[in-house]
Amino acid sequence: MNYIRKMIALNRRQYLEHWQFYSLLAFAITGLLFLLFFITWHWQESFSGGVGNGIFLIGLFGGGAAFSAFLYQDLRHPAKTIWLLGIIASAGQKVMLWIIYAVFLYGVAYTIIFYLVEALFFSIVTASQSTMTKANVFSNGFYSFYLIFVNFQLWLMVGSLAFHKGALIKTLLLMVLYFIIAATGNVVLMKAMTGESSITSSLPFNYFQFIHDGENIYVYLPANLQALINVSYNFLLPLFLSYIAYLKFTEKEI
Amino acid sequence: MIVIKDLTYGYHSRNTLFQELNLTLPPGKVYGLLGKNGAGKSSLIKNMAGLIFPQTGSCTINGLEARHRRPEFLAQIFFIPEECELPPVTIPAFLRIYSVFYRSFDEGAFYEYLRIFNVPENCQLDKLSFGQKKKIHIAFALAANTNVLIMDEPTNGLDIPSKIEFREIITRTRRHDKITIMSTHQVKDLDGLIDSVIIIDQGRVLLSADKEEIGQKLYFGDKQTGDDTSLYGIDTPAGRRIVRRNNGIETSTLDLELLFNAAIYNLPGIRAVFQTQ
Repeated sequence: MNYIRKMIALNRRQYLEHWQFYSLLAFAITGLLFLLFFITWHWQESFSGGVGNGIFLIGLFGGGAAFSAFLYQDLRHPAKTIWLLGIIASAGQKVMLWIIYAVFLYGVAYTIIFYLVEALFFSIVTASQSTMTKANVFSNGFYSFYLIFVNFQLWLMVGSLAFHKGALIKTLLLMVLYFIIAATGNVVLMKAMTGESSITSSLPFNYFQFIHDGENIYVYLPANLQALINVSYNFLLPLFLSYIAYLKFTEKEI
Repeated sequence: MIVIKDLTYGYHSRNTLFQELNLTLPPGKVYGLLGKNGAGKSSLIKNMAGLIFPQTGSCTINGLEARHRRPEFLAQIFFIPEECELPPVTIPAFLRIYSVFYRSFDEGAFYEYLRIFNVPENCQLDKLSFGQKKKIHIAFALAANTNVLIMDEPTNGLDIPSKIEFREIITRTRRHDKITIMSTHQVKDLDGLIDSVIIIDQGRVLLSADKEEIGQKLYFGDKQTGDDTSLYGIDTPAGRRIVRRNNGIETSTLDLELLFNAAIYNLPGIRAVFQTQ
């Protein structure tokens, strides 16, 4: 069986065994989106613009995490893991299928569901602020959240392969911990490097902010360096994470 | 052929279960891997299946290293774990999903084994009992026609009629180029089914011999008065059953339970028999 036919066979397995869950998740996400749209519409004066984008991100990351937790469930049961490892396909093909499902299929399916729900919701309700509430995912660089989502899903995959129990929770907690340590650590580092004690916030490999004459001053990296870092974050990191997941999978023991 | 060479394995690096273990299993035989609970049976067959990795040494099946789990290796072997889990699909869907991975899969044989096992052909797999799941697993593994079939405690969860059906099916699927390994601590279940016996304890191979060789070297029977040459014996309601050195002309039926106990409790005696002659 060649590579493509084997991928098709793996995909058929993934779909036929779990289509009921996929349908349920789609319904759950639809319900959640309707609820969030309803809340923001009902209390529209309490929310400022860009609410639709916020709702989009909640579903993208929240639903993505739930989807991943389900996708890697075979790794939580020894008998299922043995079955998975025994399927006649390479570790690379099995990991590739996870990436296709967790990153691409979920991302595309969720975006379609989101826009369908949004269109349906705003065809039912009429509101003067509906244009403000509506999401605009494909403008103003908002698509970069998709790239963050790719890394997020790949981290969850690596976590599922690294931890035996409570993989999703542990990985999410580690991500939060990393973010906190990196952000606060970066402030400390910037203070030490610049001697400027009024630095109040920063993002590693992005910017730091300090107060000068009562005004917030933001210091960004030079554009070419920032572009290089963006390429590393958005394209090299996913490759590294995929490779780490592959290595962890080849080392998987029962 | 399965070749285990200088295999050292342990759950932790300091605590080894197997120390430089060597074992060669030629094809065409059904092997019974016997041992007490915790003797290392599951660890040994998992090493063979590439599910756990040796610290040092190697385990190859037809020249392919188990730990690499390459597709060519996976195509050679089917491993049935003690606990069986099946996906939430019907049997026809299950076949449609998985049979394509096995080049020599025999769908007719699969349904025949299901009929022998009395498993309904259109059931939802995840709703079945543990024993039924195991039967489907066994039927699929045999129909897959792989060169190596490894079963961990295959008769666990099977009722008495199913154990008889299991024997019938295993006997039917013998092939001159196939290796079947059945690991169990219920030695009675393998009586009459295996060609070769491997007994392990505390990570050591106590005995590895064909039934024919065992029959030539050991005699299993009732204790005769005045006979004190037994290597091991147990009292039964019908009298004392013993195993002793065969003088070369006697024939007896292999009693796996007696042999197993003799190997465990009188290893020097058994080793002496198999190292001489």
